[in-house]
Amino acid sequence: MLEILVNGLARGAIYALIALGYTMVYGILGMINFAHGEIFMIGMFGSIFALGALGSAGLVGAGLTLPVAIVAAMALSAGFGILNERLAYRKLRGAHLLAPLTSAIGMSIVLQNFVMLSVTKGKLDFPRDISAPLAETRWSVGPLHVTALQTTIFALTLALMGGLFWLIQKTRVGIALRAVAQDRTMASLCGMRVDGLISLTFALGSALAAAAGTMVAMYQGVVRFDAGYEMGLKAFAAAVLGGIGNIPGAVLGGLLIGLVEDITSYTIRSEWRESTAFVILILVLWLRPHGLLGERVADKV
Amino acid sequence: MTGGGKLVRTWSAGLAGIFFLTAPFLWTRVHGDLATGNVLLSFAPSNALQFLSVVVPGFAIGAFVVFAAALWGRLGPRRPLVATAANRLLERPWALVALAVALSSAGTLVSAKVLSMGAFVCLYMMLALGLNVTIGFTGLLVLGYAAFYSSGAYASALVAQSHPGFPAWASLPLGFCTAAALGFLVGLPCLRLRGDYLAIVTLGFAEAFRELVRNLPAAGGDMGIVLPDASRIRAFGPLSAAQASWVFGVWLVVLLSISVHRLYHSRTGRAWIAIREDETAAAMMGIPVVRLKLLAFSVSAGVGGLAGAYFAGFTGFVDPSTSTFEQSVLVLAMVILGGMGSLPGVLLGAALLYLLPTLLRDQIPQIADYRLFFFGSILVAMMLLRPQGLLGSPRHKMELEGPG
Repeated sequence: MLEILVNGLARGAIYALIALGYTMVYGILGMINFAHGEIFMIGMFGSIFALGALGSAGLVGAGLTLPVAIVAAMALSAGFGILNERLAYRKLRGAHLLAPLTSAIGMSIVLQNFVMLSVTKGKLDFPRDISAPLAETRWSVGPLHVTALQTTIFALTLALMGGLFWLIQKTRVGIALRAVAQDRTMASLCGMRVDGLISLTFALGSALAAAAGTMVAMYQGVVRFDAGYEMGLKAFAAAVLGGIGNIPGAVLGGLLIGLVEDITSYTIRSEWRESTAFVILILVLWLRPHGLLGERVADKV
Repeated sequence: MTGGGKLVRTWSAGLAGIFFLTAPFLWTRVHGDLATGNVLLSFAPSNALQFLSVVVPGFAIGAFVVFAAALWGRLGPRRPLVATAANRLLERPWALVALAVALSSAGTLVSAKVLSMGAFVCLYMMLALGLNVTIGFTGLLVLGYAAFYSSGAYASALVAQSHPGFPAWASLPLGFCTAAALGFLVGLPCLRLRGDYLAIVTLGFAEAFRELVRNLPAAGGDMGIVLPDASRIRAFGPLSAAQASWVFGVWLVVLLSISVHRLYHSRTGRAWIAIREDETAAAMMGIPVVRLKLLAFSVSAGVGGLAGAYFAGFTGFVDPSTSTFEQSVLVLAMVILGGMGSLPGVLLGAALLYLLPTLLRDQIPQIADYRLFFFGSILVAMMLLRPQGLLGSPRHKMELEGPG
């Protein structure tokens, strides 16, 4: 039973990392960045490219391999996030909400098919030499068994989230971000570079998704071009569950969805695992549309 | 000239950014190193060259079309000729009936292959007409439309399986009612939500629906259901089965077009427009917003289900792939390309987006995989350049571009 909880929490931590990107973009632009799941997928591929580049350069095994791969994946995804915003969303700020959403769906299809066409229709293997030692090392504390990979996931998630909270709550940039989220016009009148701050939001969210992507790539051992779609939907469900636009809410929602999924697949039937998040999503939107921690927002007129 | 310099800098920075970000995907190949178990990255231009050899011409054609359209907008007639003519046609049902008779009889002249393509065009036209009721008329974005389509198809297939001899024509109202009821049930909790939430909920619903039919033993799992012969669209009088499907499809599209057109210009339709333009203001004017949204949702879902039953009737086969996200996006792209809210627009969009890829695939089979890539690009480009679609109205353009 405890094992299910640990598995569920590890899965949930991943959802939470991705959900943060949805929630930050929603908080600042009021739009659902539908292509965020694809950014996560690009992060998965990015980590493998980085490992490949290290492998070709003969630099594997210095203990820094994995951190370098994670940072490279985060940089690649951040670049794609910024590019995405610049190409597909910037011109549509202030338009009717169907326009940016449609554009985001289009971008998501473009990115997914770009990867399918340019890399492979099948799968890429994550090098087992990197993932196997982590996945096979088990630590037991009483009845609790945790793999080193799960520990890595928890540690990385905590570190990144801590960094994000610090950035948003304590730094000048964070104050500016919150100001833009509150009132974009006023912030720009006060001399903040709104475009740059919005790009930064996309970069941060995308980098978090890429870190999650690297973790999932290690967890599953393979990477596919369509891995981002379902993950994105579930993370979105997590963001809505916590209250979209609310950063602690995204974390809470992610952990809850991860837990409920694993409990469902253990107690009911494993086939229903994939549907759990959507059922939760529909229930939440029905019963508590502003989410667990979100504030009730009035319709935009 | 500083403005020009800035433009050049922005563009070159953007292109350089695109080049560097896509480089690892395009120009390299990852392969495992058996000796060490690591992966290696090597320079491999062949993938990139193949990708670019399709995408660059594709985008060039797109840019040319955009340029030509801009030129036509500058030099051409002030009034939108095609849209006006098509709308006039819709005002005169007898002209449409005559058109339907002409099209049906033309069906006797062409091969079965062309007829089957024609039947698919009719199918997608029905779907686009149905989705247009929610997206175009009422402004509700539905991303899981394929679930309604699929539910109609499955309803008729399941009934055909359990009641041998159930005729194809009777499955149409069945498909309509099943999907409309489903739409009502899904819409009930969701329609209080803002547009983008609704989009995601319907999408989640479509995913859950596909998982459901895949896991239900009665629905045949991934294998789907093959309809008994008696429940397919069969040879009828002098017409072969393919000709009967085509004639059936043409008449359905014409009847649906007329009904949807009448609905749009009725009291209900005007209330839908009011909701689309400003929900709060519409509610203030005494329009029962939730009830009308539910009606739009159910009608739209119902038309999807009708199309599903028609699909089951003429292909004789239903499987979970009818409710994939790809199907939903395909129909969405048709509505957006043609012009949300414009009936001639969505009919044109459906015909273009079905026929172009199909004909191209027959001519150049290698590019079949690029279909979705270009659909995505079309969605983005349309939103940026012409949000009202090919034959959309200026009214829609103003709404989509917003005040800012």
